[in-house]
Amino acid sequence: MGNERRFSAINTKIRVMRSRFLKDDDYIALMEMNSVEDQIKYLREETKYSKVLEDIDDIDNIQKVELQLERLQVQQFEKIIKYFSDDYERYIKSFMFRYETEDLKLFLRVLARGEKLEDYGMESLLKDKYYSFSYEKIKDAKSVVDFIDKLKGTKFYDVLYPYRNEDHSKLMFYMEMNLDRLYFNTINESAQKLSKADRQSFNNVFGENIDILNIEWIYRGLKFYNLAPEELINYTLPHGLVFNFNKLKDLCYGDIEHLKSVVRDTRYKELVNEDKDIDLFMGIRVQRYMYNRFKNAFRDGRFDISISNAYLHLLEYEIKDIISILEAKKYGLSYYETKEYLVREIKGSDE
Amino acid sequence: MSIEKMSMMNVVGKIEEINDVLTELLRTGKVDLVSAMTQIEESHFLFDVNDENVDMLVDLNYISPFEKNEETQNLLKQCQEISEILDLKCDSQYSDINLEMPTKQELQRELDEVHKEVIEPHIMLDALQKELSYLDDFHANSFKEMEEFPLTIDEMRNMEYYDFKMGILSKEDRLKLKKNYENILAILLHTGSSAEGEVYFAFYPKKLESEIARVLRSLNFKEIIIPNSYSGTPKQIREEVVTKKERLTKEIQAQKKLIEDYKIKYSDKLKSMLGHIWLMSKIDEVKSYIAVSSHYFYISGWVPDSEKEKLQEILGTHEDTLIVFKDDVSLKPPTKLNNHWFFRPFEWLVNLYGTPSYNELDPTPFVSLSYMLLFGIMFGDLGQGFIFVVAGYFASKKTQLGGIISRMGISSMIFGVLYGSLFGIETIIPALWMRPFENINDILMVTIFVGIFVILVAHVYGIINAYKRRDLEEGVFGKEGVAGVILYLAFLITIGSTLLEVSIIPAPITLGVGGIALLAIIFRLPLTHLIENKRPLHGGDTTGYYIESIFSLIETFLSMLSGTVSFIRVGAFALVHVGLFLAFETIGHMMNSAPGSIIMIIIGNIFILSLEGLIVFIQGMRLQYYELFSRYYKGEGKEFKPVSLEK
Repeated sequence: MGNERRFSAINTKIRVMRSRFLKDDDYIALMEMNSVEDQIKYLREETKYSKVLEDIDDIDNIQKVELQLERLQVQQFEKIIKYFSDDYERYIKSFMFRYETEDLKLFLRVLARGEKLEDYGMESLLKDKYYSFSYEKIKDAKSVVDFIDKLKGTKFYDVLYPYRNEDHSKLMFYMEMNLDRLYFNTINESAQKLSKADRQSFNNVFGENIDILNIEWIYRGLKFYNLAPEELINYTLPHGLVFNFNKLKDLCYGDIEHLKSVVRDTRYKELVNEDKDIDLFMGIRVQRYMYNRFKNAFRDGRFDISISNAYLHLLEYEIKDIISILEAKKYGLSYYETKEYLVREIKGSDE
Repeated sequence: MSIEKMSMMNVVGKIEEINDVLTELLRTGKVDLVSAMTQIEESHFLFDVNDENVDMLVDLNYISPFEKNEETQNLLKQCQEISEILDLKCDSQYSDINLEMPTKQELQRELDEVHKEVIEPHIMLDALQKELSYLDDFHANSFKEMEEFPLTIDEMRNMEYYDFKMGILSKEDRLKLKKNYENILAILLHTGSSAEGEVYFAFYPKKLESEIARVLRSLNFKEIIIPNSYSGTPKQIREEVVTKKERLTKEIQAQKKLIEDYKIKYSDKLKSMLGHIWLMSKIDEVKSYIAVSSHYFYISGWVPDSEKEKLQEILGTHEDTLIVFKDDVSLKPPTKLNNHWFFRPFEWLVNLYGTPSYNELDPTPFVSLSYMLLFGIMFGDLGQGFIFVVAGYFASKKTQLGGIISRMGISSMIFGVLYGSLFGIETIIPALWMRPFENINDILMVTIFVGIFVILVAHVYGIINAYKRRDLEEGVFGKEGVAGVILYLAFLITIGSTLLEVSIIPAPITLGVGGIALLAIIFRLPLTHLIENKRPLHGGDTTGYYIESIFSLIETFLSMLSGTVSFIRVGAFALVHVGLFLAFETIGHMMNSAPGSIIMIIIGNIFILSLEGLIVFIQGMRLQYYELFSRYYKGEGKEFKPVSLEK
């Protein structure tokens, strides 16, 4: 099937879906409100999230709002999947793997703290058919070991099994690193089965994403974690676009200043911009870089997988920003402080 | 003849005898039980009272349903489990169950005994097999590349300044290791491969143990623990593993042999136990229909009249058992079809639409004959029909459909002779009647007449069914009743004489009779009420009645016309059948070679047999269900489902 035929319908559909994104005015309105309650009311009355937020009774529970917003994202996933078949369907579905991973991390955090899962009233985000494990079964896990046993037969088992007897304080670190690696490998694998043009478009975006995540990791590793360079390099993700293994190795065996100077000569220089505190803003900058990258996909408007890809990620950033705004209000951050922590840059505000 | 007469049987007996009575009922497989509780509550459970059975009547006031019992189910499960361990196939070997039923306690004890003996080798076998597969996984090839290594594992374990680990690395991590090997303070050697991946051996100074451990961990190094029982060099270990594997295989064989012995020893015993337990669980199942009082049990069920005497005889052997048969009950009996073996497969076709009511005429013989006739006309071919007969014969062992297919084949063969067609080729045998493709008008005409005949027979069925229901309105004045048939005939004669330009019956008479029939259909409700002396005549809404009546008359005319003409399709399919083959034959000729033609003829036949065969099969069903059943058949009955020992 030619890409024109494959993407003409879905790309049109996505453009319509994209027109329902929140506008800058919406963000400004949200940030200017006086209480979390008002904000949620606004989301419920003025935005595309009204339907998923309809049934929430306690109107200031940010956690619940977050879950509902993510539900909407999953719904949109399902809508988009319907437009694809075979390898493309599997590729889009591999994004769902992300939610499985996030669910597992949540479980692990609770269990690693020695708390009980039932106290948290875990709710599954995906429909049962998208899980590769049984959510209901795992909900009853009593300990980390029990939890991992219950994952037997899934991809996760092999990755988590070696760490089941690890000291709880370090366990989260190892497990999260490995789950993330599994996730990136999974989408990369499924993407390599797409047509050549789509594979290339994927490799470019994915490669950049991997690059900046690796830079962030090595920067933090050097600065905060007491890790040997051998360990640092082993935890990096493969398939970067600019930074291949040897370049990363060079960063791992050098110091922070070296890293900054190397990165400054690449397209990722904004990450180590010293105008603001690098330590504090690196996470946001990583996301902001990808955000702009995905926005460009709509400008280019090619008949390939990039638009679907971009839409799904932009929606994710929108939800992240909304939650940041709600959290910021909860902790009493000012309008200008809040703006700093958003992925997007809001223009036309009263600066 | 084809729907069996049913009677309601009520049985009262002493509660001690209940299991014996039920066993016998199950064995006969002739009784369709209904809930005795409901029967009694609705006062259908009647019997003549005399001095001897007055107790039974008194007890009727104290009845209760039978208590459910889980015990038997557990026994059944346990017994099946043991059979599975011993790999015994116990399906339906219940024929030789004698009436000496052991009690549940006895059965449980015996089962426990067998279980105790059998479970031990089973568990052993399981463990041994696990160990073997573990050996296969990890140790068989893990040391393959280290054959020449001079040190023993014990020597290495006892080294003062160095330590070692073995484990598995994934491809991605191997690559990382390779690219950064110069910075790693350990020697890593590839030593072999296991089921889970490539095995590596890490050798490093003891001082650096924690650093190396962390690095290995970051590489997802999956450690293999070498059991302490291994102490030699890698080569010796390999040999040890091989001998151990041999030993394990032998032990597994021994355990298997043991289980095999048990199988022979307990086979008969288990089979008979399973039979007993199966019977018990069946009895338990049936007990939900039964009512009991403190001294008596009460059973109600439908019995075919032909089996009455036999049941009386069997149950009569029990003392103090009262058996009452009643023909005339207000309940609707279930339907048991009983047809000539030749028609029997078509019962499936009828039941697919709906089981006939007890007092309805069984349409099976008519369906069989008309279906075969129509199929034959549409798909007449001696050779292809023969293939259907053979295929149907083999399929009939698995499904009722097989019987239908082989009968379709017979009809196809007969018409094949009439059409002179053998595997589509029309030059081998002579046509006894005509070749459809050369007489297109004739075959279409003939099928319309066949259609008219079939429709008329359907009307006769409809009238008989209405008579059986004592339905005056539908049977006499209805559009599927006598008036309808007269109108249809008048309609046909009028059209027929106009088309053929001959006068069969003088036109005024035809029109007059037709007109009377038409009026009868319009006024069918008031007429019926007049005769049955019911008021109001129109059952309420007079205007509404006439509007509906007149419109339904228009619909009647349309359906008469379309229903009759639709049988042209039958002729059309006869033509399609020939035409389709012609196409393949032509392609065959174009190939200009004998083998090519033969291959095309074979492909053509396969295509026609599968695809056209299916289409004609469905077309036949459509004609039956839509054109014919709608005229005479309701199919609102309940199937006769006797309780029996079968699954």
